[in-house]
Amino acid sequence: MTTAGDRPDPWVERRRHDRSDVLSTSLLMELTTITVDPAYVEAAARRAARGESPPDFRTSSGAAVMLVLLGLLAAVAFSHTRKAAPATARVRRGLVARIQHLTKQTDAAGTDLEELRQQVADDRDRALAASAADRQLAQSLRSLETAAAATAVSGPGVVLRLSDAPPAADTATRVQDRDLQRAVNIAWSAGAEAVAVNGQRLGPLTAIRQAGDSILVDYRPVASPYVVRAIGDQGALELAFTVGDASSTLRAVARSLDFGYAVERGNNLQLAGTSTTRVVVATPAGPRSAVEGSLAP
Amino acid sequence: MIAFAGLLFGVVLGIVVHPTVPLWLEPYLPLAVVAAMDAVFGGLRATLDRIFDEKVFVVSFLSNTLVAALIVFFGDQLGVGGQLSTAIVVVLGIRIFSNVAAIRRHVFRA
Repeated sequence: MTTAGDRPDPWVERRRHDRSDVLSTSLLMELTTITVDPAYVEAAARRAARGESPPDFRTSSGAAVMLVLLGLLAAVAFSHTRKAAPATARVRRGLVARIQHLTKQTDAAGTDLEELRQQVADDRDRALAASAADRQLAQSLRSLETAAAATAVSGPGVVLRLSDAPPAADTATRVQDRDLQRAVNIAWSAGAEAVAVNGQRLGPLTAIRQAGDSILVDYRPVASPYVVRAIGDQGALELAFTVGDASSTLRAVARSLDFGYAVERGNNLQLAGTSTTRVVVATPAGPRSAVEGSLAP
Repeated sequence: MIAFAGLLFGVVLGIVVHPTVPLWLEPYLPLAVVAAMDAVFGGLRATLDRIFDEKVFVVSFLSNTLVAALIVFFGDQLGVGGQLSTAIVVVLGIRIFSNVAAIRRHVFRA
């Protein structure tokens, strides 16, 4: 505007056109201030020009028809919402009941399996009691089974209790699958002979992984507090969990995220056998006769 | 008063006759109702301002409900149906509120 002549300053001109900052708020302003539909104003002006008086909403037949429509719509929407809510709840209840029923069935089948395994083991021991060679075979079978986590074991060991940060914390400060994996790996590296997490025995093929908000051990959900029980050299295990290098990361994580982390000795830990012992792909490299039976129950 | 009698009649009709709504139409009903309410309060407000017009009311009522349903429909197709429903409810909610406030000022002079 200070330039000579009537050519406008381009910068000022651009500022005048660039009203984006004004527009962004004007949309909201318009929404709250200009509430009466401009179409009404225009129609009223046209009618005033013709010299007619405005009709009344309350006696207008067009408005009445529209209001019948509104009432109909509202009643139908209302009844549909009312009907849909219990239906959703019913479906949910049904699903929960089915899950619980199937979980119970699975548990019962697991107990049966355990019993049958025991029976098989007993029968086998009886059959293999005749000669010294047979007893030798039974012995090696039993040690192989223990190594494969196929049978229940007991013995002295160490118990690690790992729990989520106290409530009022968000999901980020909950124990995750990798924390549990780390804890289990510490136990193995310290020479643990058998490890279980919340009662789920870990076999060679057992996975610990996250599924949504929960952690699955052997495809079964486990929840905080997580109890890692490891049978092995108590001194070595305790050392590994409390001061060892292997657990430094886990301990740092637990400290900074406010996890519960407690290690104690257990003199007679009882660990159940794992349910997944079937080896599908691998075949034993040595003489097959001794190993085969124990791995494919 | 014929208009309010119409509203009552519509509600009773809906409850008694209980028309079955096709499943694909169901998600759009609540928003159509909110949009229609916006038009009705706009009409009431215009009456009190003495500028009510039948044609404008009918057209705004029908277009409001249709546009609200259409926006949600396209939102559903694009995967943002929930957000768009929220946007419509917010905008129409503000408008209903300010229209009711204007009506209140007219009626109570406060």
